[in-house]
Amino acid sequence: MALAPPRDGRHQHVASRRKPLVALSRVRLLLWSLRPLWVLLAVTTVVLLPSSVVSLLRISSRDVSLPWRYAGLSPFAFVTASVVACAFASTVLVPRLRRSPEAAPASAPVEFPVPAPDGSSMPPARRPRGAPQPRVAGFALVVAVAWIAYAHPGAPLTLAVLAVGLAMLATTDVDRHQATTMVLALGVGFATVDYVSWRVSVTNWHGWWIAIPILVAEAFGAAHALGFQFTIWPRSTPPLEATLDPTQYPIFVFVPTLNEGVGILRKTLNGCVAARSAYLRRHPHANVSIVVCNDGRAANAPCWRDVDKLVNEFALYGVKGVTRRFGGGAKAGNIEHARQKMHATGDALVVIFDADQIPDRQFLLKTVAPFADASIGWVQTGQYYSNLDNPVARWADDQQSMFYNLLCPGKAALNAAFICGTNVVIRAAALDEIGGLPQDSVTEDFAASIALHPRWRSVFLRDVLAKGLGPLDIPSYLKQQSRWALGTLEVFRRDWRAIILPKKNGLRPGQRVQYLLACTHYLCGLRDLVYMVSPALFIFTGIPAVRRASLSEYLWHFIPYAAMVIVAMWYSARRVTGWRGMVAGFGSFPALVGSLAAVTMRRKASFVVTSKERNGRPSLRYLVVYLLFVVLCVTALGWTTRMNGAERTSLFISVFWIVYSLAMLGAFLGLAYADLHTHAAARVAEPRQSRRERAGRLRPVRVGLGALIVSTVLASVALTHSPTAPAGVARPFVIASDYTATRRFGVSLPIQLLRSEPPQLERSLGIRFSIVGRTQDVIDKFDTGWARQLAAQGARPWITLEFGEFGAGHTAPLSASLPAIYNGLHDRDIRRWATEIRDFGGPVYMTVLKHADKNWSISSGVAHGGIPADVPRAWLHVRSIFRDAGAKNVAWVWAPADPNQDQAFAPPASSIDAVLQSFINYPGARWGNPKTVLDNVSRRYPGKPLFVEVSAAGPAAEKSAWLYRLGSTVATTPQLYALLYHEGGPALLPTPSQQHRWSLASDSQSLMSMRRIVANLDTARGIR
Amino acid sequence: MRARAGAISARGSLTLVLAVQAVVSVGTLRNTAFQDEALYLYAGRQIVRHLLGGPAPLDHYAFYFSGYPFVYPLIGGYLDRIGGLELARAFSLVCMLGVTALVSAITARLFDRRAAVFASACYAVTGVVLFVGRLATFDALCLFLIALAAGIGVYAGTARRPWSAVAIGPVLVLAILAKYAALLFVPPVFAILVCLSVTSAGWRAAIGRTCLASFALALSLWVADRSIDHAAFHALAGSTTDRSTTFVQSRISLFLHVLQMGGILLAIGLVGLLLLMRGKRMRMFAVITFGTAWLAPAYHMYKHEPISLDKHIAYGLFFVAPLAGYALAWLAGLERPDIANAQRGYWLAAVAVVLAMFTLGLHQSQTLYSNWANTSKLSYALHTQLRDGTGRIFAEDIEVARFDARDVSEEWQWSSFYYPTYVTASRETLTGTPALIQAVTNRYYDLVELSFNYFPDDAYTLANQMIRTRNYDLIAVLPLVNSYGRSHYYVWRSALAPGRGTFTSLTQLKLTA
Repeated sequence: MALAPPRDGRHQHVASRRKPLVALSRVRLLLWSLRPLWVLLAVTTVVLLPSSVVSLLRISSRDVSLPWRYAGLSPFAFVTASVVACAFASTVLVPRLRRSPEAAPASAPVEFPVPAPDGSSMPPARRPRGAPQPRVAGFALVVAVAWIAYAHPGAPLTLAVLAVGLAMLATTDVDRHQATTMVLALGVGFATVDYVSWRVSVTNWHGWWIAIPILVAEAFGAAHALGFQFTIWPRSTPPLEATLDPTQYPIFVFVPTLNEGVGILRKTLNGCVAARSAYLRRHPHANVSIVVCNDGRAANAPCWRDVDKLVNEFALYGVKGVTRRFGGGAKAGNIEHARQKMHATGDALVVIFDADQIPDRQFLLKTVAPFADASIGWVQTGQYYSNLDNPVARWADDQQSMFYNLLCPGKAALNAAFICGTNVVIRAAALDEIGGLPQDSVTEDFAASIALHPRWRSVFLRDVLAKGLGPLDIPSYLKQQSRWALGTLEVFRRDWRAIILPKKNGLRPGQRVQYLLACTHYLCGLRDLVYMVSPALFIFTGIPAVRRASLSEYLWHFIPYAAMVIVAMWYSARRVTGWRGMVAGFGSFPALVGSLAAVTMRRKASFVVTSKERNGRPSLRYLVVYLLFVVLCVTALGWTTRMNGAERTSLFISVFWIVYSLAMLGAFLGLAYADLHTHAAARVAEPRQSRRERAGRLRPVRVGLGALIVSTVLASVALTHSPTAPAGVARPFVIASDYTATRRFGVSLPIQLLRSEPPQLERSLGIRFSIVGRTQDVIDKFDTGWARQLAAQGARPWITLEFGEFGAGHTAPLSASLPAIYNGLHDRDIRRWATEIRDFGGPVYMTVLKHADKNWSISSGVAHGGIPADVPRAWLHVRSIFRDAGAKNVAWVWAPADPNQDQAFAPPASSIDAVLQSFINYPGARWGNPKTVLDNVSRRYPGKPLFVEVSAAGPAAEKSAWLYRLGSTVATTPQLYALLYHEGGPALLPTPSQQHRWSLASDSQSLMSMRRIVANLDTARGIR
Repeated sequence: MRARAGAISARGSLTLVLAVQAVVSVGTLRNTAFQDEALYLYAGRQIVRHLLGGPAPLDHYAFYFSGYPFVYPLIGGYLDRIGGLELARAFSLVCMLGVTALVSAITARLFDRRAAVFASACYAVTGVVLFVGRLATFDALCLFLIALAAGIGVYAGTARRPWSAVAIGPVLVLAILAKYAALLFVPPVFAILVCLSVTSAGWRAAIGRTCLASFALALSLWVADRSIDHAAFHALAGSTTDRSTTFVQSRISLFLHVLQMGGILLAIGLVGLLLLMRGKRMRMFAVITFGTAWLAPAYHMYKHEPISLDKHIAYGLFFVAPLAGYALAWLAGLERPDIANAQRGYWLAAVAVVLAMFTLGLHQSQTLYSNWANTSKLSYALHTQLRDGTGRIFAEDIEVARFDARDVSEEWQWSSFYYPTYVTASRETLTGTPALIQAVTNRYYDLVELSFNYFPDDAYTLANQMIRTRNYDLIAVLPLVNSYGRSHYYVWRSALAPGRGTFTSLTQLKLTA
């Protein structure tokens, strides 16, 4: 019987179509005959075109006056244009010329008759005149991809892809689900190209031993993300051409068994008998044999005799048994042995069930029908687990669901659905062609598919037509993954030429891509290992994976890529599988890496049946690897605090991957816990539940991931938001009502003395300060903690706010000028200060523009471009911001250097709450009479509370005498509100000796004088 | 069984394209005000202020602006007054979104909605279009009005009734008032009306509709002539019809520049032209629109004028976009319903072309948008020195400096190299260089800003006078990066005392030869 489709009709047709070519000019013929050259040129164009265009582009419009640049570029541009023209000719024009004018009248579409299997002409596929070739689409896509890879435009590209793609799809005949899938796939595609090309451009090649592994791992992940989208891209499955009656074929149902036990096998045989009965009821003339392939004897399995007894028991139902005496070839050898014994060759159909796979009654009815098409080699169905009460089986089922419900239909549309070893019907003639199932591989099914696919078509049915037992514990799951990885990688090592290298009558491009993706899938274990190790290495060594990239640039490229991959994955996998499938896949990395090592070192692999029952106490040794990596990740995270901020981008990338790895490890350890818990409970397997019910049992992962997310969010919130008082308006602080006969005493200090000095001075004086002052820059934060500490001690803060620092040569920055203040350049910072002080809530004394009437002030009204009129304007501007922010708990202390001569600078009296008089007594200078000064100030500002700030350095006797005079004066000055001593002296950065000389406690006499002053200030109660 | 994507109608497709145009424009193009933006918006603010009862503008803008100052500057100035530069730029963006919508509408009317999607998409992602949409100048409004006139022309040419042709005249006059360069596009709009009228309704109807449109145009022009300040005719000649080129460039370099900025769309439009030449119905329309795309570039090449060429390329691309849309639809196989199947993937070719154009357009628009210097640091420095209503400021870059400091200064405080004057103590009025020298000698300016960029010779004169008199302190040297290269802004402040200034030598400047 002729199984291969006849080709003659097509050859005849091609010959007939060549006739018009004779009429074409020789030039056109030459163009057509040189097609390989054009393809080569097209590839060259893809490389050259972007650089040419972008080079042209980067010449700014101003440079067009330099024609030599164009002259230099023009030959290059000419060559590029020529190449583009040739490529266009090869891909568009020449194929169009091939069409016959007779066969393609101007108004009618060209028709390409497709031969039917019986040799007759089938209705042609319509290919209208003027429609561009698919190669045009491919060519345009490749050019666009190359261009984007060169220019990597970032996030806007993703937006453009989504919008333009959706807009264009709206004009075509496609349903909403397909449109969404296509647009998301396009988004993933272009965002991936953008990210990976950018990522390559910023790779730190100097630190190659860290950079290259993580780059390759990311590229591998990106390639598989693209491969996933390529696989699930909506395609119409090629229609079957029913020309034969498949019910006439003899059917052999093979159930290979090794050591699964009769309890499991009995259910499978019952299912097989039921499926056969259902099939025979519909097709009474059919011939269906059920054969148990018992390999237990050859493998010395203890239960092989029981299996034979079971077969005898089922003999009543026509079940036959074939028991091997000598092993070899593992499962494939067992099946092949039985197949030869039972003569299941030629036109027979071979059905294979693993011993634990129980077929549905509809199995044969649904799977045999497609064999009506003579080109169908096998029909594969999904592998689903029934023991979903077991957490490991449930997670593994989720992982399987991704493969069987998403990928296999896509592979089938590309005629690349491979044999999965069970729940499959294979045409025996196909197996005969390749000498039966390959017996030198533990994944014989996969190896057989590669050999069969160039000639035979495959079909995948999504229906649940058989259910089996999934791995019962994590070690079994890891063994199963290891076996599959070993087999697949071994097949790749052996058959990579068939997958990659071009070959006449070999695999088609789509099939090659699918086999390549399947073969390399198990390298994801190595990828995950790199994701964990490389970031940690960067954190420990400080060698970055990327260079010359800002964090924002990274996010600009990475976020669209990550978002698109996640959204596209979520959309396609919704109602099919969940995150636990990904977690289970991640958790298998030790097994996969081990398998890769075994294949690399060419260690001989043995076929290990996945255990179908639990034995003894569960081993916990496998957990050691995961715990080690958790420790590594946590240590690396902790180590980040020791890093400097120079490599922020690399640090961010590393922390991202470590957090990702920790989340996956945590979820997998959650599964391990659930596994142990289940093992202890040892519950009986329940019937398969609906997916909705199963989805609801995702507790360990949900709890684990949920906890991780919540803790991360909480930590972020805690880090970014320190506890603050509720916003609003602070309780007003009216200094006049606070102004009593009791005077306040305090200190003002530079920041370096702020914490250490006041307690010592308080001890020396035997009192508690009621005001502590400090000077801060407007870009600083209000020290709420310090203010609260003062408030707890009964003291109040006095802040002197500066608007910058002097630079080299004592030059004032422009930003400190008075116009800068009232023109609003500091408004943001001032508003922040106001808000922070308002939120603090307690009374605060505030001074701005201190000594603005003198040229030594950084914000001066007589220097640095300032004029006296600027001072009140700036003062009022700052006050207005505080008022608008509701910071009514501030008392404004006006602090000119000479309050008696400040008329040109002073703000309105109504905007001043208190006035400061400073005494800075330098050694060797003539120290003024405090009484005269304070009397004058009292007259200048009648009724205003006075602050007196003192600082002196000089001979002890002189200093103590002056202080004594000051004490006498302040005791008799009714307007005095507070007396403060300024520690540290007037220097911006005082030395220790300067600090000592200018200190209140510079000598015992001065200290004694100050004690006396304090006593006179009526501070007997200490804290006020 | 198929749930057709009915939710995404043609209107939805256009919305998506407009969303891309808007988000990409706003999200990727950021810079301080361009010189022209600063000038027009500042003028507009002064005009609005005057209309609201304030003082009259000191400058006679109608005398030299390339558009009538009571059209765009009035709108832009008002928007700047209430929402700042970004709001004024948002108006331009809205205008350009309107142009894209008109591209779609015209293409849909003449071809089909598939071609309309492609036309609008490839127009919206072009670099010069993105650029004009973020520039608060006359161009976006003018282009929108031209597009509207063309759209009315297409509608009037293909509608059953002729009366809509009456609207062409007023819209075109508004476009001319918005920017005088719109005069160039009056004939093409009429040509479109005539050719479509002839095709759809015959010669007699075409003559009738053309007469209607011509009459409305003449009437509108007469009304405009009676209403406007006739100094605008001087500006029309000086800025547009009899413009003298300052920066002369060769024609070949200008031609190459046109190819750089609009070459891909023009090339696809050429494919559309060739495709339409096969049939009779749209042949004339294709020739007219493709030719119109080259009008403005051709005029620039004729005048050797590079200024504003980028913006004027966008005008031409509007006319060629429908042809490009048709060509892309043909390329995507959508001109034949039997192959318009998404699963065949032909449409990916069109997506790829648009995305490639987008990538290039994004890069080009960003390049164009960084052609002028970012003046945020200069603005900051000025804000540390200026006093609203007090003191005089001299600025070489007066347009941007004055615009950036519009919140802290008055118009009268500013002087520049454009017609400087100074009245001496003896009431003698000096102009030009003597005025500058005397003003520096007398410390008339509290602040001086120079960049040695636009008036290098005058700037050196002024700097040397400051050195001679020692009346000024050099207080800031700020980076200036534009398409010419790297340089600096320099800011001087009047010294505390005459002759005690710290600026004593040109070596204190980071000037290069």
